[in-house]
Amino acid sequence: MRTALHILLVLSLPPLLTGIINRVKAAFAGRRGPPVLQLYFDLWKLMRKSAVYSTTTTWVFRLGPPAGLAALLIAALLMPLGGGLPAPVAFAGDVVLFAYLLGAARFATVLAALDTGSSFEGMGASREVTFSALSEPALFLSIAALALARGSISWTAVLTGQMQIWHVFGPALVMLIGALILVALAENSRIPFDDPNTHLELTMVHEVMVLDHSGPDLAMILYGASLKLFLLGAIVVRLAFPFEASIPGHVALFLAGMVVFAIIVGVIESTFARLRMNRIPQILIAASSLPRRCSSSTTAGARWKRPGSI
Amino acid sequence: MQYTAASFARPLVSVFKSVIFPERRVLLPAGAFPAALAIEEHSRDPIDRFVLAPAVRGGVLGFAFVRRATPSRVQWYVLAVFIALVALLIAGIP
Repeated sequence: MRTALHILLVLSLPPLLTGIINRVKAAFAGRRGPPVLQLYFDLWKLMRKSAVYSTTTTWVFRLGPPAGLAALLIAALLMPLGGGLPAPVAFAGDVVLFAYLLGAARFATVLAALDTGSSFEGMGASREVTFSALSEPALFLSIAALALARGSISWTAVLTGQMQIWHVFGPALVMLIGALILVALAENSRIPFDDPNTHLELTMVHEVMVLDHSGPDLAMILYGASLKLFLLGAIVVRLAFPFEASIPGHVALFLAGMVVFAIIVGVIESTFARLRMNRIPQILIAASSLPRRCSSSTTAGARWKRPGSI
Repeated sequence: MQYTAASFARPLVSVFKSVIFPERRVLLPAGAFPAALAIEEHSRDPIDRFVLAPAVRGGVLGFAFVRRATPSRVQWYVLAVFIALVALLIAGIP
């Protein structure tokens, strides 16, 4: 029952997150904006269309979107949504598998982009792997800091019942949340790292890689992108709102947290300009330094506390 | 496909150029009607380049010196052993 509810939430909610972000951005711009459910409509429309394939592409191009989405769906199974909703699949070391599944999804998209033979898509793929190579250390260091604080390398243990670690590592966790928000923005190609709505060829990063996809393939990519944002947002929400309650209350708390996360992302996107391309590595390296400081303080904290007391 | 491995990796290499030290050769166009231009970049592993390769080169030089210094006739070996023994005896005398 709980597993079914977990899967239902993870599968159905991600497009809503994108809708809320777009509504917030529209409100900041003084527009009415698209409906909150717009991405659901778009996905439905795309699923009913047929895909168009260039004659220069091969099976690699066709495999990219389903392989990327499959990797993200497996990653979703590893993500707990709180004490009442543990991850359907949990084991020691699943945090590492999670990071690599995100990497596998990106790899599939990059391969599909390169398979088109377009130098334009190659440029986007090159930028995408550059920025992800810089954001991955931040993600891994964040995971390491959390694992040190919790003494576990499983998401279910790390993200469940961490009210106690706020008492010990509060300031460190604030830095960690900052780093994870930056990772979430960079990994999902959001402003200030990339603009999901841009159509200026020379400034595109992620979007340029998916220009050749259409129909159900594009739907899989759009859904995968929203799922990735949802998963990284879920980590931030579980860390920032470590409340536990019975199932209906807990789901409501988690959803409220996700809405707040979407609003924060929308506010960041509305108030920040897009960074210049050569500034992005600096911000990502700065994002990596935050969890590094956090992990040193959590190590010190863990040493200070009696073993087993955290 | 217009992207080579080096051009694909170039953004990342340029971020870490102070660590990777990419080797770059550029033939710039010259004159009003340039006939040729070229650009070539290699990013070799810095550990290979600055640690392992010099260590192997040093090892090869050292062993070559030892080989040259080694006498080729048995009589010279015997003399070397004799001298070494005498040296050890003298060094061992309190």
